[in-house]
Amino acid sequence: MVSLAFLCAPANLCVMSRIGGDGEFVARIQHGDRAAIRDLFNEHFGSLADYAASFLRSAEAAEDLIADIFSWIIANPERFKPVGSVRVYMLWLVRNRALDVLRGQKREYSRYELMMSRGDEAVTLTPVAAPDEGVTENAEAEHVNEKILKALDALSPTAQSVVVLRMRQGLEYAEIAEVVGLSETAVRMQLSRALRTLRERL
Amino acid sequence: MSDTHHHSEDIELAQLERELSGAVRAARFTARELSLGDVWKSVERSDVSGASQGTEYAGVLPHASAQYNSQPIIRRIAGRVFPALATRTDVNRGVFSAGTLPRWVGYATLTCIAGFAAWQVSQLSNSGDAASKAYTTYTTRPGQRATLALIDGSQVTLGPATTLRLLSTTKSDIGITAEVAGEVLFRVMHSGQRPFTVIARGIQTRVLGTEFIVRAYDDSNVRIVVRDGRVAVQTPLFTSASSVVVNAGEAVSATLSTPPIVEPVSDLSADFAWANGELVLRDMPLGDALVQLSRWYGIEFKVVDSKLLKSRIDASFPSSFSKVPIEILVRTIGARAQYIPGAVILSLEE
Repeated sequence: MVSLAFLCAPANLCVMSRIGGDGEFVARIQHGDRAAIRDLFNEHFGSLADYAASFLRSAEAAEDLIADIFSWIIANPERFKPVGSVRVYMLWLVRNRALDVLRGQKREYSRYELMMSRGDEAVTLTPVAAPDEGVTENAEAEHVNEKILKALDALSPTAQSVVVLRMRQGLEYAEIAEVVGLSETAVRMQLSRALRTLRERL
Repeated sequence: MSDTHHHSEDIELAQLERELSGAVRAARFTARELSLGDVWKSVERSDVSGASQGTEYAGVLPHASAQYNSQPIIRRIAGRVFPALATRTDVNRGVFSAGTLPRWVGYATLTCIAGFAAWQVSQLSNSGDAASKAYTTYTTRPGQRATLALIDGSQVTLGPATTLRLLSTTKSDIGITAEVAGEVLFRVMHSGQRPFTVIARGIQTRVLGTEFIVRAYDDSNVRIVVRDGRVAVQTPLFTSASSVVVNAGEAVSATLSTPPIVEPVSDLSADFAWANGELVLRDMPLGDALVQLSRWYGIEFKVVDSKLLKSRIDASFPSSFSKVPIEILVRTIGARAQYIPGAVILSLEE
């Protein structure tokens, strides 16, 4: 794979050498190399931001989620273990974290629960933020956007993810499969069903 | 057969994708763009090697093997350390040993009402994702008090049996939020520069001034007393438009289900004295008094005869346990006290 990289056209050499050197990049991250982590951040922020936003529908919550992930990487660099595409791995991290957030954090604060709970009732901590309101600039655009978001919300969370990963992140079916934990065939099925549903609603 | 079937399905799928990609790509999920710079800043802030105050950080734990699409999600305690927020004196993680309080601490006693209604926090902080906030928690045992200084110069004094949780979110323009179960005195510096909010049992106190007490040992009543400056108090039942301002020399009693009522306080020292090492009880039913005494000394106070509970008392008690004020107390109510390890038992004088 590495040797193939250097046969590529010079214009691609930067990218390709990175792919070939991806192993080295990952190794640097695993050693806690802050510059490498910063590079990772800069490179993937946009895509992770969008994916996180599609789950959480709030800029603050999505920012927090991404910050969480990178704080985790900095704190536990040796656990950063992408297999194959780093991008797909990062998206998978976002998805995991977003699902945790959406499921609520009751269990994440067991230590605080002990101190703060009344009786046996576990403390409910801050829920996910209310979705941003007034997302677009004018009423008309707002209405259209609402329609799209509503149509997306008619899909199951997994189907939504599949649609977003395919159409906004441009992933291959195999890559989507890795992120959402389905087989590639299932991804195709989900996608086609989801898009049919969307077509009806839009 | 299956090949062609697949093929035509693929074509159809490609067609659907073409049709809908415009709409899906046009969707906007958030009201604003996410800020790369801000997010990285908060990542850096949360990374302080060795300064962890006992907050464990663990978020997503990705699967170690190649098949990470099997997604074992291990939830653990997540939190990000925001260590710069507080300095403290000789503490074992999370628990203070109290010493005597410096006198000046008496200026500001804020009893923070710790709110477990986290949705209040989310309304205030506008972030809503608790997992991403950094908490630092301090706890005193009954009989203990403690003081800490915050990085912005604010002073916080915890009463006995109190838990204070300081929150800071990743957004740099959201200030300090304190959640309290128990009684805390705050002396807030520069409150105008960044928001300082105290939350207790669902009741929010927004700090507009400098010195106030929030007292919230249980749900039945939250009491906020202002000595200097002013605060705005909001209960969850009401919108923020109807928060109540409490000025210096005033107090408010609030519950989760009733509107807060503001009243003047004739003698502030009764509310603030505890921070100076003196528990002052004024015209208090004995039952309530004994609950407070138990907390104050970390010893259990019990009664044998329920008739005693009808008495009301006016008394003050020093921070170090002494039988003298107790003897005075029991004599006034016609009782006697029996001292056993860890407890004081009151019974009717024969």
